[in-house]
This record gives sequence, C-alpha cells and structure tokens, in this order.
Amino acid sequence: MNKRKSAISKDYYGYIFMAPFIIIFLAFIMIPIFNTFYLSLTDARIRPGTWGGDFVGIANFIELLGEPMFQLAVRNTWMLWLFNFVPQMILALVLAAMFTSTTFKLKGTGFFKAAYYLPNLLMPVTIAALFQSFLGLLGPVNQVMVGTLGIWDTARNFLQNATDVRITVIFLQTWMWFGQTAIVLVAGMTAISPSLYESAMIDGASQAKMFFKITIPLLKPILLFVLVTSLVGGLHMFDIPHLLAGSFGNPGNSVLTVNMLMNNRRGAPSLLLGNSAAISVLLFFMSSFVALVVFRLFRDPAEKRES
Amino acid sequence: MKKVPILLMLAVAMFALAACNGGGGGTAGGGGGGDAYVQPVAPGQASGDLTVWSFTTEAQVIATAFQGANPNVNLDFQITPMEDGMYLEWVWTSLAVGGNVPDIVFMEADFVRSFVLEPNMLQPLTAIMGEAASVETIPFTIQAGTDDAGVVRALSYQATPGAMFYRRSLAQRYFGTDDPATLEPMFATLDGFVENARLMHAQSGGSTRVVASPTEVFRAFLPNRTNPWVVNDTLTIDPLMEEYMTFAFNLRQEGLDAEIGQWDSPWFDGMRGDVVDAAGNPLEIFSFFLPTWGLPFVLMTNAPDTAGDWGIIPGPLPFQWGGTWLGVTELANNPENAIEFVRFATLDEDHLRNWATGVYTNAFLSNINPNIPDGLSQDAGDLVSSALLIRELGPTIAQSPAAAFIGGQNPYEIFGDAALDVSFGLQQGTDQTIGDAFIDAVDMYISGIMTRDEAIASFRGDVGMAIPQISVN
Repeated sequence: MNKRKSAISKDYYGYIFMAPFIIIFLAFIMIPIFNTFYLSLTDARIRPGTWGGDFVGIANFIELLGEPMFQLAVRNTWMLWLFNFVPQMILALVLAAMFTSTTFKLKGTGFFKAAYYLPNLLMPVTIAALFQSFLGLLGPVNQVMVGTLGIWDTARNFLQNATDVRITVIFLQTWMWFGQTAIVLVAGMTAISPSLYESAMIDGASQAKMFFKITIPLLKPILLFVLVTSLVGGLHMFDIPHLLAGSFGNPGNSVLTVNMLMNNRRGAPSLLLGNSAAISVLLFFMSSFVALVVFRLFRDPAEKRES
Repeated sequence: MKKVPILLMLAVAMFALAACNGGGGGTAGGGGGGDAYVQPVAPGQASGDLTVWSFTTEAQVIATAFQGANPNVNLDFQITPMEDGMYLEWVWTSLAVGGNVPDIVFMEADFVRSFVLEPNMLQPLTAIMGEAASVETIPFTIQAGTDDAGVVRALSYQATPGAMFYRRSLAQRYFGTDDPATLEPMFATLDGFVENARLMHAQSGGSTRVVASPTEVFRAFLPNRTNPWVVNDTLTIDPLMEEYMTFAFNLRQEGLDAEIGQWDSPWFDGMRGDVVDAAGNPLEIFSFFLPTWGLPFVLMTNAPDTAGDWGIIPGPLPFQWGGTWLGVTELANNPENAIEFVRFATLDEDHLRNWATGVYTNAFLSNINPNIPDGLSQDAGDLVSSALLIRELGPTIAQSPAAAFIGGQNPYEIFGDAALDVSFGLQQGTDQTIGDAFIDAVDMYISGIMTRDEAIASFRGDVGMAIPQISVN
C-alpha cells in the first residue's frame, strides 16, 4: 500500500521541479512579452497614478513605418550589423582554423584565445570612453599623426564625421565579438573527427580544400548558431553607438539604431510606452523573420527532401 | 487525476498574473489633488514612516540630519543612480503603478520642471511657503518649483548660480591686472568677451583661448531668452539661440576656443594648465564657466596645484547650472512627515547653517545613524538657498579654503549676488533633451560638416524623434 502510494506521487515531482522555472518564465518573460504586444496597440504614456492607455489598433505601427527617422534607424542597424559581422566571421574562421589545425600545431593557443576574448570582458562604457578620448581632437591618434609623425596637417575630428563614427562603431563591435565567435567556432571544429582530415591528407588534399570541403560543411550547425545569435544581438545594438555618439547618434543620426530610437521614446521626457512598445514589436518581427529565413537557408538538403 | 498538477500550475500562473495587475490598480486612485493643503507635523515631532528616494548621497546627509532632529521617525532612504535614466525610470514607473511609492523625491535641475508640471505628480508646498518668505529663499529656486498655476511644488536647499572662473596669471599677462573689479566690465558683454578673446589670441600667437568650447557659454545664453523652447507644443528657436549659433560659429572660425568638450579629459588638463594641441604646442585656457559646485567638485578636486590662481567675475550673462530640488509625491503615504522633511531640508535655519558650515561631519552623522556609508559628510561652503543665511554666513566662508583658492574672493558674496540675477522661468521639462539636440546641431555646424540650415533641420529632426509630442515644423 505504502509503496504504491509513493510510486504514484512521484508523478508530481517533475512538475514540482519544473515549477520554479515555469513561474519565473511566465512572470518575467511571457507576461512582459504579451504586455509589450498589448501596449504596442495603445497610446499608453507613463503618468502618475495611471497605467496603460487607450486602444488605438495598429496606429503606432502605421505611424512608425511611415516615419523617415525609423526607416533611417532600421537601415543604420542593418548596415552596422552587416559590416561588423562579415569581417568578424572571416577573422574568427581564420583564427579558429589556425587554432585547431593539425599541421600548424600552434603553441600558446590558450594565451591567444584569452587575449582575443579580452575585449568582450570590458564594459561597453569603458570601451566607448576609451575610444572617445583615443579619437578625440587632442587624443593620442591625432597627437601621433599630426605631432609626432607629421603625416596630417591638421587634427582629424573623428567624432564629427559620420563615416568615421560608423567605422568606429563597426570596428568596436567586431573587436569586441570576434574572440567570442572564434572560441565558439573552435569548439565546433574540435568536434569534427580528426580521422576525416587524416584520410583527406592521405588522399593528398590541401589545407584550403580540407577547410572548404570538411570543416565548413560540418561546421554548419555552429555557423547557424553564431549567425542567429549575432543577428539578434546586432539588431538590438545599443550601448556602443549610444555611448559614443549620444542618444541621437549624431553627427547626422549616422549611428542611430532602432534600439536607441526606442530608448528615446520610452525614457523621459516623452515616456511614450505605446510607441516604444510598437518599435520593439517591429524589431521582434524583423529578427524572427530573418532568423526563419536563415534557418531555411541552412536546412540540411536531406531534411528538405523529407518535408 | 493527471490533470491536477497542470491545473495547479495554471492556478499559480494566474496568481502571478493577478498579483501583477493587483499591485497596479489598488493605489491608482490615491492621489486626490484637492484644495486642502497638507500641513506638516510640528518640527521634531515626525513619527511613523517616511520614504525618501534620491540619486545622490548628498540627500542621505539631509535624511540623516532629519533623523537626528526627529528621533521617532522610521526613515527609509533609497538611492538609485542617475546613469542611463535609471532613477527617472524607477520614479516614473513606481508612481504610475502605485504600491511601493516614495513620500519624498529628489529632483535634478534637468528634470525638476517635468515633475513640477506633470499633473498628479507632486503636492503643493503652500503650507510652508510662509517660512520661505522669512528665510528669503532665492527666487529662482522657487521659480523652478512653481507650476503654471503659480503653486509651489518643489523647493531646494541650495542655489547654484554660475560665474566665469578665470586664470589670474593669464589675466596678469594679457591685461596687466588680475583684479576682478577691472576685469568684470571687460567681459560684461558678449562683444567685450569676443574682443578680449581676440586680444589674448593675437598676443599669445594663438596659444591662449578664452574658453574650452562655446558649449560652455551656451548655458549662460539659456536663461536670458525671451521664449522657452516649446510654445503651444511647437518647437521655437528663440532669437538668442540664433545669436548663440553665430557666436559659437565665429568663436570657432577665429580659433578663439580650444575645441575641448566639457568633461573630456583634456578639459581637466586645461584647468591644470597642461594641455597641448595635436601638433604638441601648449594651449592655455583663460576661463571656465562653472557654477557654485564647480569650485569644490571640479576645480579644487582636479587642479589643486592652481590654488590662488583663479578669480571669479559674473561673465557676459547670468546663468545657473545644476542644483537639487525636493518634493512630496501626490501618492505619498506619509504626507505630513514628508512636508516637514521638505521644510527641514530647504527652509530650516539651523539645518541650512549646519549644511553650509561643515557641521555634518561623518562622526556627527554616524552618531545619529551608525549604518551610514563610510565617508558620508557635507563639507563647508555649499551656497544655501536662503539669502538671509548667505548674508549671515558670508564672513565665515571668507576664511575657507575655497575663498583662498579663488585668490581671496568670497564665493558666498559673489554667488549670493549672482543667484539673485538668475531666472528659471523659461525652463521646461523637455529642456535637457532639446538642449542636447541643439548642442549636437551647433557642434555639427561649427565643425563645418553642416550648413546652418542643415544643422537647424537636424536639430528639429532630433527633437521630433526623441519627443514626438512636440511639433517641430
């Protein structure tokens, strides 16, 4: 009798163990997400003593999509992400291939991996402040180029030049993330069986051939992971451009991202909850759509045939 | 039977949902403006709870002193950093949702107007305004806390007028005197300012610049406009702002400023007198536009070796920068205690005297509350908001290290006079964002990457982007 009872009650254990996660997930992730969707359909503004606003349908979305500043922010965000992702990926692939290469047998890879990862450990605030003073009119770059080397006649005002600011943001994003990407790729590459490379070598394949015919195809799931996480992170780009170029992303809103626009709308003094919620919903649809497209593109041909 | 756990899970989820909503609805109706003003409890008689929210430890000095004067009060002091709008977000959301609300909020000059002008945000302080008259509270500090109907909803314990801090050694070199009385009329108008800037520039062969950047003088233009930024929900560019654009452009064209931004590291180097341009030639900066707190917290902290080499003159236009205000929230749970707190902090003669003369040492404060952070204290010299006390304390401050730092001038007298000239009337809740956008636009204009019209268009675009409620065309 006793035994039977305990056997039955064990069914509950799974739920009990899952409960903390489910509760926290619902309370802090699912409810806020649904709340954001709801708010995006209202004209809510933060006011003392009131919460929420009137239902306005898709007015926020229509307004946003027709707004040149929103379109600019979307273009900026995509451009900043794309131009940082491509070089970052190439750099990370080359480094990962060198780290794992059986022919190079690099010494001290641990040190290099740590060194490349280091920028990622620094706070964005620190990095932005560092580069702001580095590129300042009286900063070290100008001191060296104008003073020490005398290559330039006058100091270059990097932070008052749209292209320079964009390049700086792109460079910083690449610099901060290539180490992380390289480490993930190394993990993926070490998982590839060495016997494949050995047999390829016996067949006389070159390093390049092995890289493109073995490493890349077998790395596809990892590449997909890197691409999607970088994409989602990149579309939410905020801190570096915000800290480097201020909340308007000046000069000329050249580095105004979607997230910065949302932050402007949500924060004081505008406090437009509904409008900023609509921006995050659009951002959500944009990232989901692109992630879906990427998943389709990366799908195994074998899987495709089945479906 | 197997459905029970799922139902249980759902029930818990519903509870979580209900809890979220319940917190919001409950207190929303609590704020009932009304004509009857809440009266403060008698001084020293505060008992029960009081919740104070702030963004500086300065407020904790006041809160601790209040605890000392009101031993029966159970004071809950919370500090949230200003960075990334964290404090503002916390206060706005809490007051929107209700429940956990502060009785007292501290406000910075940048956003005090947005709190004061927001309906159902702050309670009237009418009950204590009689005392403000008797301690002769500096008018602009009251102006900052007055709403459009003339009701005072925020008060300050300090006044933060600004002045032009100049290097005495440079004045001696170019004008043959470092006497503030002689220099004051020379820099009393914008034309005089530019003229003497040119003179220094020419005589030094370009190495001496009058200011670090025109942005520094921008703050002096602001209170002297005729129109605020926003008139009838429409962005308005006052003629004086147009004049500022011209002023900044000419200053930059003629090389009269050092092209150094405020708070950048070369700015502090400039105070110490050891900044070089990109080619390695030394640059000297004649003056800095700083408020009262700039003396102890900026100059004395960052350029201690230049003690005695500074002088103060009013400069071309009266201005103020910063300052901290306090108000009682409409949703306050303990309004009587809260109003007494505001009275104590901003109008109580003994407290203000203690505040200005360095009585609140760490030992003094930890005697009241042993749990305060290490090093919490208030040094002597902050300019209080009472003209009565400014007159009374002037002779004491004349002996302070701050006075010695500015070559024996008395900061209390100079700033005390300057405070009376400052106006806060045109400031609005949206000023910080609009001001930032304008500074960005002028920077683009004077650095040559935009024409004047392009810069103004960019300014309008930025304001419309950040505050869509304002019409920008």
